[in-house]
Amino acid sequence: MSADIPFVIQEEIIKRVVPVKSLIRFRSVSKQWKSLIDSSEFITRHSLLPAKPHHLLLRYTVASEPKYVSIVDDDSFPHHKFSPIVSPTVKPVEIAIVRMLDCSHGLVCLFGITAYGTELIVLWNPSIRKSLTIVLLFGMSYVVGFGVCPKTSDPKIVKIKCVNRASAIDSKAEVFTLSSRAWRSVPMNLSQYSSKCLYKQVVIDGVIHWVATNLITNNKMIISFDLTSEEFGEVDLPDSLAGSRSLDISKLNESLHVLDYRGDAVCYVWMMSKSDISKSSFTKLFSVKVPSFSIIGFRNNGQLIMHQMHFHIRYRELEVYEPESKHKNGLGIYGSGFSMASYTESLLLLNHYDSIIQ
Amino acid sequence: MLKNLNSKHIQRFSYKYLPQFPISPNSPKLGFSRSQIANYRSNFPTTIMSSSKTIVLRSSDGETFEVDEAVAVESQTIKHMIEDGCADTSIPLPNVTSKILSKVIEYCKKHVETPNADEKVAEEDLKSFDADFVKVDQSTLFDLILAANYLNIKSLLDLTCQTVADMIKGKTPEEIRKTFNIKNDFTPEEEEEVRRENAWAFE
Repeated sequence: MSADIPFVIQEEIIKRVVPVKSLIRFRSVSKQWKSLIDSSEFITRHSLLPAKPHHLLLRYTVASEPKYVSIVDDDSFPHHKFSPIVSPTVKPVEIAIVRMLDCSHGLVCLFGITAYGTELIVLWNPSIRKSLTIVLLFGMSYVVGFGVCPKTSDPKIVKIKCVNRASAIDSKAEVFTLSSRAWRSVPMNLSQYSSKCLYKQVVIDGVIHWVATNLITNNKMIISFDLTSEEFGEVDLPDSLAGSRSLDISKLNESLHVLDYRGDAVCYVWMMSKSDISKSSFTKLFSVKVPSFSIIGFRNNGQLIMHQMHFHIRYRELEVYEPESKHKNGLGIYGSGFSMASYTESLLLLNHYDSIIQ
Repeated sequence: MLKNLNSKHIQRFSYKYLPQFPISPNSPKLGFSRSQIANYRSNFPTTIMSSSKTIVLRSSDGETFEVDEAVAVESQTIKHMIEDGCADTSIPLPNVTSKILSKVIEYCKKHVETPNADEKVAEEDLKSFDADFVKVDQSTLFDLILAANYLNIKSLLDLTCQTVADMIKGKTPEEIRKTFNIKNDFTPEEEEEVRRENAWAFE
């Protein structure tokens, strides 16, 4: 063919290959190619490649059956074919996956329960069809958060003990890292908060965010966990948001958006920006007429994805809403229990075996 | 005639009176000979701006290319050679043929000339130049990669490697081996095992 290409150059080419399916196939080219692709440096570098196509990963149920769909989030949306994703085959098989927590660096975090009441986390990489199960301690009530450390590409799970009463002062948290396959205690020096609201999480720039209620002032606030430094933090909300009864959070282009559902079926969308090192400021962007908690996320270009109830059919339909024109377009996806996260392909978990970690 | 020009004229219009590259023994004579330039420089030493210094590159098949120093130092390899004082007469590049070297020079010239890559029009223009630049046959593309690697021109290496990466993504392992001349060092059993680990990727 052409002059012999030394392996150093082949490596320069391989590390610029973006699609995960191609890299998986290339593992059978030669032993050198296989050990390069399987190496953790390569996997980490690939997970940080900038030019990867963005997807929206959707989870919903139809007749109690969970379905997973990946939609490419680019100019062809929504006419691009929706790719149904093969549901994860998890061990043990008798898990009921209850909800999807979030996606980070190509890994999906699912929360499930077995018939015996054991609670589990499943880390799933849909593009390489690999999953890992982590058993959470049985019988404790806590809130779980998930993210991948941006520096080390190490998946981490944080477990926060539920605090519902002001008298329960001992705030404890534990962090599980996949690299160590073990749990570790981390200090949590926060003011009194209630973890009742720590349901929906959003990972922005390597920091997990949740909405919580301050037990003393009864105001809403944002709690954060930095995946690199493993430190907790708090963000105060402006008065109009702090007093709201129904708050949800979402992500758009690496900035936190707060959804304030007011009683009159209107939702105010706010954006958080970091003006200087520690101070965050909130700006009201626009309002949209929707029922409570019906917005499930944003597209990259700022359009909202929400579900709409139709009275003549049993299920809800997923719609996309353009804030400027106030136009809604049905996406033809019907179901219930919608949740969505932004997703890009990665090779994480490639060099792990499908297993269960206690 | 030269003596009638004052220093202002020379500073502004000196680029017109210097030969353009590439110059080879077979190409038509443009501008002045090298001895005329050397004479010119010795008469007006301070008026030639240092940015118009030229470097001579010699390809593996003996052709010489005269390029502006600003263009030549896009290559870190050449830059270090100049800094180490090895570039007095000409720089020999035994690993690069004239065909490939002229293309590399064309690339470097375009990238040096584009004033501000932040401006939208300039950025679009450069992008379309790059896209057309890599529309060559596979053999030439691989030679460009090897040249970009040897000459240490990062942006050219990025461009050419990304082009090949996008080209090979749909290929089977056997096609990859043919493209890169790779020997399959798996035994049939080992290869079958690796395939079976992710059979879905081969459908």
